[in-house]
Amino acid sequence: MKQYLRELRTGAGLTQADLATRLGVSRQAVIALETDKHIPSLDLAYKISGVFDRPVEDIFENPYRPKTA
Amino acid sequence: MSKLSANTQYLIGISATMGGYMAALFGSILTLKAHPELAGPALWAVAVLPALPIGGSIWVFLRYIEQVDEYVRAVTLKRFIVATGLTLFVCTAWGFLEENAGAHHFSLYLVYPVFWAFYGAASALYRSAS
Repeated sequence: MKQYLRELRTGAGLTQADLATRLGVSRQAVIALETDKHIPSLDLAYKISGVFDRPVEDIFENPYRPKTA
Repeated sequence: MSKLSANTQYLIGISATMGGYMAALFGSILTLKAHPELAGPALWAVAVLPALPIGGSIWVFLRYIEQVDEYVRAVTLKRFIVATGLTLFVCTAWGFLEENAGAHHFSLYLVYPVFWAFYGAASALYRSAS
């Protein structure tokens, strides 16, 4: 699943450890998310969405939604 | 609610159960040697004593899985399932070898260390849940 987590995190001036603390997860989890080794649960996706104040689909590309031209 | 991290609680729990295991193992062996007249339920109770902390260590591990975040849980569960499957397979295969091919008898209390050996191998192989 294509995601823009690293770009958003660095854009917000956060380290992986900072983001992990805000999300209440391990740094390992943040690394796994950024390297596409873990697809987050809906709950974690909403938490990430809350941290960056962005809709979930701005962070994680929805592969099932038809692309609009 | 505990303020200790899941890792710290796990280390404390495993240290306590392994300490309990050593105490129960030596206690059981020494009691059986000192009281050869033991029989029936008393003998069974003393003989099975070392297995109880092993049950405790499995409970500590399952509690750890519940406490960690979803990523660590997914990876840990995958390793646990792979190790369980390999242990079941190897023990069943060895059972058939014992029964039908005269293979050396394998004591069942060795299943536990065998499981952890497979868990170690699974940990080296599976660095992520995907």
